[in-house]
Formats: sequence, C-alpha cells, structure tokens
Amino acid sequence: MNSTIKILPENIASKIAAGEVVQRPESVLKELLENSIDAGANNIEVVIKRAGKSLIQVCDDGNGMTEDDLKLCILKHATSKIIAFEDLEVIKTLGFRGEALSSIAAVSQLEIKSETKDDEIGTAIKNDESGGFKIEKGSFPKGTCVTIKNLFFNVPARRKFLKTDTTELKHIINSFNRMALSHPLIGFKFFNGVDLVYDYASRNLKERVKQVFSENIIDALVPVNEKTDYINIHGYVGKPSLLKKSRGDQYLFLNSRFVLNKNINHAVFTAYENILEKGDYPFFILFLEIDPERIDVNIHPSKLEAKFDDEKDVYHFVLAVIKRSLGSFDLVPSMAFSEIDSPEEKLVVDKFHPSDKNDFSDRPLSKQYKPEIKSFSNEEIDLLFGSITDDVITKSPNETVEQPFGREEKKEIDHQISTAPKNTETEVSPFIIQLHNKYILSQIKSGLMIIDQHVAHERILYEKALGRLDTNIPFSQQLLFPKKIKLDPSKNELLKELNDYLSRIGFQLKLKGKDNVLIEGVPDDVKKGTEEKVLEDILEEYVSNQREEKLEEKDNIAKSYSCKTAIKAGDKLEEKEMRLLIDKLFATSMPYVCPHGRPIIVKISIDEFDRRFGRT
Amino acid sequence: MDFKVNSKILEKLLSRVIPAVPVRTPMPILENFLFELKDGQLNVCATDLEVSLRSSINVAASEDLSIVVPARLIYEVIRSLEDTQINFSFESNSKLKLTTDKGTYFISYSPSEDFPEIPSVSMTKEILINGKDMKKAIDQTSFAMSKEDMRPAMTGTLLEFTPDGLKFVTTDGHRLVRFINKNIKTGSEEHYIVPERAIAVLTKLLGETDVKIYLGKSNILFNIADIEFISRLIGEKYPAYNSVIPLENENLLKVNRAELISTIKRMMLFSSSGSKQVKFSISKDSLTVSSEDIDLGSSGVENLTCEYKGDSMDIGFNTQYVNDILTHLDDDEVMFKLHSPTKACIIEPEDVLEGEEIMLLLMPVRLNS
Ligand SMILES: Nc1ncnc2c1ncn2[C@@H]1O[C@H](COP(=O)(O)OP(=O)(O)OP(=O)(O)O)[C@@H](O)[C@H]1O
Ligand SMILES: [Mg+2]
Repeated sequence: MNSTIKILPENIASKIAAGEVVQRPESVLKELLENSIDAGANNIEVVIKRAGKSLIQVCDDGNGMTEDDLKLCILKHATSKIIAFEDLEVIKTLGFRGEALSSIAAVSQLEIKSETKDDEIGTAIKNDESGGFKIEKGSFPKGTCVTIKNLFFNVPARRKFLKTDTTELKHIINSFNRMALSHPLIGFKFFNGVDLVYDYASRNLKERVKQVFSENIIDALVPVNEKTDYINIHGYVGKPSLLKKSRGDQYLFLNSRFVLNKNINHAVFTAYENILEKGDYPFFILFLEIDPERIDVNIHPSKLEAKFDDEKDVYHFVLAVIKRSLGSFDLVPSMAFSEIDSPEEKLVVDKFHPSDKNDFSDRPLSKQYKPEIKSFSNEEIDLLFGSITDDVITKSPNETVEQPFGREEKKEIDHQISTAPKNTETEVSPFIIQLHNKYILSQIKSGLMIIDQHVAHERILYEKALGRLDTNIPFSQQLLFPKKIKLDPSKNELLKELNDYLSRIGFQLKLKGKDNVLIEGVPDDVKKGTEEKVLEDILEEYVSNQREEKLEEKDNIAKSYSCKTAIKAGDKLEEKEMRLLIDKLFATSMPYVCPHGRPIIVKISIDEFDRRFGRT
Repeated sequence: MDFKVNSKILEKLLSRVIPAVPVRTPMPILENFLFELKDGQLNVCATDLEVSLRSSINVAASEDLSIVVPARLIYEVIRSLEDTQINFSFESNSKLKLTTDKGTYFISYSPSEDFPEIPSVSMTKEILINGKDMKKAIDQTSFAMSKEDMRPAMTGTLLEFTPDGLKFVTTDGHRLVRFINKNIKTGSEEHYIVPERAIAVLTKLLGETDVKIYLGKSNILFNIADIEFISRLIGEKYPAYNSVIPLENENLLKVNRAELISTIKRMMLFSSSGSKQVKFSISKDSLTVSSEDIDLGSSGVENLTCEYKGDSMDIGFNTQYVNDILTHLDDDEVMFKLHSPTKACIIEPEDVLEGEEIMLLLMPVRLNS
C-alpha cells in the first residue's frame, strides 16, 4: 500500500483540535480499534487484561505498516491520513490527527508488530531498556498487532485516578461494542484474559445488533431508513417498551463514527413525543451519512463531537424520519388481566409473548403512564445530554453494574414487529360500540381494541392544529353573532401575545378597549355556542402548561387547543362518528399516544379472553 | 267489556300516535299507549314528555276505561293483521284479549295512573294555516337549526307572529334562514320557539289538511285533522337576528342553482376532510369555484356562467353549508348578495311565490390572504 506516514508540518498540526488523548484504558482501545478499522481490517481481535490496566492488545488483518512507517507512527503528528490542510475539511477516516499512537506510547510500554501484504518479512517496534524504541524483523501474520502494557506506569497521578477494574472494564466493553456496531462487516473478537467473551462474525447491521444485544431485541425495534441526496439515515429506534431508565443506549454514528450530539438526541427525543416519561431514554442505533465536506469532526480531541453545516436541517430531517418510523409501527399496549383475581379486576401487563407476530407491544400502563407525565423541556434535555466536556468519556451511565460480562437481561422485550393495524383491521370491524360514552370498543383481528375517545380526538386535533400553525391555512368560520368576552388583564395580555397563533388556527379575535375581546370567527372544531368558553379554556390551559411543562409556544397552543376542543368523555357518538374518529386517528403520525403521553388504544387479545374463560 | 274495531282503522289511528313513543327511555311507562274509552270514543295518547300525540275514533263501547298498553307490541300486532274485525275485551286479570277470525292474542295492560298527564293548551286563540304552506316553511328552514344544545334557543324553530306575517326562523350561529308566510296575520306580535323534535314529528304529520295552532305559555298545540299534537316550547330568548341581517350587500351574483349544486357536490369531494371550505372567486360576470385538500394534495376548480355586478372578490364558505342552502331552495336561479369576504352573505331565490319570502344568511369562512 502506498499511504506512507508523514509528519504533519506545524501549520497543519496546529489546526487540529489538540488535547489529551489518553485518559483511561478505554481511550487506548478506542484509538487502536480506529486505527485497525482505518487500515481496512476485516477481522479484529482484542485482548484485555486487568481491565486494560496491564494489557490492551488489538490485532487486525489490515494493511499493515512497513518498517519506515512503523518508525514514524509513534511520533507526534505522524499520520498517513491527511497531508494537506484541505484534507481536514473532508475527513473520511476515523483518525486524522497523527496523535494517538504517540500519546499512547508516551504513557505505556508499547509494542507493534506489523507485516504488509507485499512484504516477505514483518517488522516489530518496541520499547528498549533505555526508554527509546528498537526495531526487530520477524515473520508475523499479515496486518498489525499493537500491544499496550502497563498503561500509565510512568504517570502515577493518572494511575491513581483509574476506577475499579469492574468500572474500567465496563467502559472498555461499551467502547468495543460501539465499534462493533459501527462496523458490522468487520468481525470482532474480545478476550478478557484468556476467555473469549465476544465473538462477532462479520454480518449486516441487523445481525450485529442481535449479536451485541440479544436475539429478540429486533422485536423491540423499529427500523429506520431514509435516503436523500444530501443525507441518509438508517438504523433502529426502540419501541416504548425498550425505554431505558438510563442514558447509554443511544448510539449515533456519523459516517460510521460514534459521536455524541445533543441536537440529534433532542430530535430523537422529540420524535418520541410524550411516549417518554421523565427519566425515560429511548433506545436508538442510528447511522447518519452526510458528505464529509458538510460536517466537521475536528473540533474536539476526543473525535466524539461533530458539527453540521446545516444543523437545523439535519435536526428536522432526523425528527421527521424517526417520527414517521415510530408512527408507522404499532406501539399499542396490549392488556392482559392480572392472574390474581382482585375485586377491582386490575389490569396488569402481560409478561412476555413469544413471537406471536400478530400481537402488539405491551406497554405497562399502570406503571409507565402516569397522568402527570411531563414532556421533556429543552433544559432537561440539555441536562441529560450536556454539551461535551473533556470528561465526557469518563462519565458512565452504568457505574454500578457489577458483572461486566453479565449482559443486562432485556426482560422488557416483548414487542412483535407488526405494522399499524391501519384500516385493514378496523374497517371490516363487524361491531363498534361506545362504552359509557367514553371508550370505543371495536373488534380487530387479534382481539379487542379499546380507544379512549377523548385522547384519540385530541391526537387528531393536535396534529391538525400543528399543521395549521405551520401552513397558516386556517379555517375560520365567521360568526353571525360575534361573542364578546371580558378577560382579566393577565389573560388579556396573553391573548395579545398569542393572537397571531390563535388566528393561524382559525380564531378571529378583535381586542376591544381594555379588556374586552370580540370573537368574530372560530375554527371548525369549536362547537357552536361554546366559543367563549373554549377560548377562555384554551388560555387557561396554556397558562398551566406554560407553568408546569414549559412547553414551546406553538406546541402549547396546539395542545391547549386540542385538549379543549376534543370530544369529551361523556359525549355520545354515533357509529358513523366513531368510525370516522378511528379512521382519522390512524391517519395521524402517532395513533397510539396522545399529546400528553397517555395511551389512546389498548388491545386485549383473543388469547387473553380464551385464557380468562378457561379455553386454553 | 267488549268493543269491535276494524284492524285497518285502528292501525291508522295508532300509526298517527306512535311517533311520540320514545325509542329508548328511562321511564318504561312512556313505551305505552294510553287507551281511554270515554263516551263511545277510543282516545289513544303517547308522549315522550316533550311532545305528545293524541287521536281518537268512535267505538261502540258501553263503559269508560283508562289503561296503558305496550305501544310497540300492540301496534305491530295490529299492523300485521289483514283487513279484519278485531274484538277487544278487557279481562279482569289485566289482560287485553284481542280476537280475530285468525286467533286470539293476550296483551298485558296496566292501570293508567302512572301515565304522565298530557299538557293542556287553551283553545281560545286559534291560528289557521294551510298544511302545505306550513310544511314548506318547515322544509325550507329546519336544516339550519343548531344541533348543539349549548344555546337551547337555537336548537328550535322560531315562530314569529308579526304584522308582516308569520316568520319561521332558524339559525345555528353560522347561517340563518328566515321564511315569511305573509298571509298569516294574527294582529298580535308574539314569538315562540318550537323544539327540533316537534318539528321532526310535524313534518311527518303535515299534509293537505289545514292546521289549527293553539298557543299556550309553555306548550303549543297543533290540530291536524283528528290528531292533536302538543309540544313543549323552548322558554329561552331567541338571538336578536334582525340586527345581523346586512342592509348594504350591493354586490349581486346570479347563478343557476342546479349548476352550482352540481359544482358544489364535486367540490365537497375535495374539501371533506381537511379544509371543508370552498372558494368563490368572483369578478364581472365570472364565477370560479375552487376547493383544495391540502393533506391529500388534491384540488378542483370550475368556472360557472353567472351574472355579477360588483367588486371583484374571493370569498370562502363552508362547502357543506353552501350545499345545504342550495338544496333547500327551489327556484332555478339564486342570488348571492355580498358585501365583503368577511361579512354575512345573503342568499335568495330569484323569484318567490306570492305571499312568501325566504332569505338565507351565510357567514363566510375567512380565507388567508
Ligand atoms: N493498525 C494499523 N494498521 C496500519 N497502520 C496503522 C495502524 N495503526 C496506526 N497506523 C498508522 O499509523 C499512523 C498513526 O496512527 P495514529 O493513530 O497515531 O494517528 P492517526 O490514526 O493518523 O490519527 P489519530 O491521532 O486521529 O488517531 C496512522 O496514520 C497509520 O498510518
Ligand atoms: Mg489513529
């Protein structure tokens, strides 16, 4: 191969985000894995001893290095990956600084054995007794094998700050798995001491995800895939049952590089809307591909951060794609009755369904949906995904995990993949009835579907309102008898502030005098005769949303509007209206969860009925 | 005690009264007919507490009696019989025994004490109106009654007795219909609001026969042939609709009604889910009607021949409302009298019959500019 290592001239070297490269064993592993991947390896083997404190070894079957290269690679700013300054604008490799090996060499005892395909004989470089390096020739497997011993042997302060073996190993494994996920075509092996712990054969992403997590995780994931001229995205997002109470299972790969990006995380969070409870973290593995020219990874020495030329566009792209992916999947909680016969017939969640593909996810209703669910405010997400600081790599979500190799059991995985029932299931429904003027019951293929009429309508109106706010195409029925209302001064002020939004939805308001408001036109969802009350209620709701949830203005307006104009529990519906409601519900982007995060649909499978009636 | 009656005559009697029997009611007694035998007359009554119907036939009965019988059962039995003589006999064990040449049927009856009293209306003042005229007024106005019960007054039809005639007014706050029958002049000025339920029953009862109307404080009685129909009145204030009828709508659009209906029907296909609105773009002698479903990305536009004098304008309407209004008029040509895109529009037939007047008001939907 012709990519020979050169020392970067000072003027280029100084353009590279500088900083500490090696903080802990995990950083060493990450750098070595990156190098192997950059070297075009098909197989990579990792050996770790004492959580990397005594040994980190990464062997690959990549291009290898010549003797000349080997001599150079451990020097500062020695890299084969960039030559000119312009190369920094289009980074296509994981490494680009020419820093990693030199930094590692400075704090450890290093040995690299390498042999290129073209050479008959390989070369080894290792520390000599005097602290310098010596070269030896020998016959080695094709590729490169880097061995790092006694990390921080010469930096006691660093050594002292290392965490327990358990913790350090946990970091190492996280890092290893991230790399394995980012390159499913590469085979990865991981030895802890002499034990082969992970053995991931070369596969596609789906199989790799199964290897890294568990066989059945796929059932709990919704695939994501969208290609445009400018940006591609693919991967998986977790169904709500896979929401985690911890950060950490969010994998974002930008051009196959694991990166942390608060903005993209926010976009994904927002796409989940209120399925997320406070403290819930969605699981995702997302690959973004963007022309390297349009991103910048040279902003932080950890190479974990990235900047986009069109940050906003990327945000909206991710948001829209994830939302659509989630919306097209059936995320309906399916209910089963408690085994224990309690007098109140408490509904509890079914434990585990083997792959009965026609069934739906079980979202624990009682536990996970609380009425006071808050949606995430920007501040909260900022806290969760605080902007990257130097210690970001040292922050671990799972400091407490005791067995580094005991894979966390994913007990909650019981989703089956099945696309939304859409109308195929509901259209043919032979019966549809209203229960206590509150719930709509309808037969579906898998059993019984129960819809909460109020939240269903709320979802429909919420999206409609958002649409009108965005497009500014209101429907404003003018009133024959305009309604005059008197507001208190604070409401009056608020109304002035919101008038623009309200008029986009379809309210035509005239502020008269100090505190009088004339309602001249209303949106189509406002029931005749309720114009004043609805407007007052919307303002009331807006204020309380603002106080308690710190919602964004537009979102708040849409939520307040949909909440106050939706049909209520207690409203009698005709069969036609119920069918229309269901049709419209399934035309929304998220038919399963209302804008406040409450479930809209619950299903009871026919199996459950059978079980209850002793038909099993 | 016995009497005889022809099945078809009895069926006719019962069919007139049964509309007042409620389909579902928390008061089971209302699912009965009140049968009253008095002075050789069989009086049959039904009520749902809001409306009551009463009718009678002569029978040769020797005693007076008052009982309630399950309305639907007896009606269905009688209705399914051929033209035959039925013998009614009232057994002491609370059973009504019907005997025909086919067989014998027993129907349990109960005493009438629990049956609610039918409100009485003073018959002192009588207003006479031709049944067909009344039906026409109702047919042309009833569609605009409000279906939402937030403003109870608007859920009924206003009957307004004025020196100009009897006005029938309905509105739901978005549109309004006023029909005037100029021939009915009572000399006094009063108004009453008749609930929607009564209007619905009335349309079934009205025909060729003249209608006598008697008005009480809280009830109204219609006497149509041998049927008495009594309804509760809505005791609310009707909105002051006269003040919203515009006087300066000087932009006049004349268009063929059937053509416009046909256009609107197609526009409804493009405005059913999302926008629900139809746009009229009007300029001198030119009318363009268009509608767009933004969600589905579909739209339609049509040009109609018309006569128009006035300012060019774009005005939006709820498509359904335009359809309702046009289909409830019966002239060939309709006039739209416009002021501006946000002000009420008057719609009238070009010609009306002598002694009648109809005016419809439609509030537009604001178009975003
Ligand atoms: N496993 C390997 N196989 C082949 N060549 C390697 C390998 N590891 C390192 N090299 C060579 O050594 C050079 C220096 O590696 P080093 O990791 O220090 O810098 P880099 O990868 O270029 O940039 P960075 O500091 O961002 O990682 C590389 O540019 C590459 O040419
Ligand atoms: Mg490197």
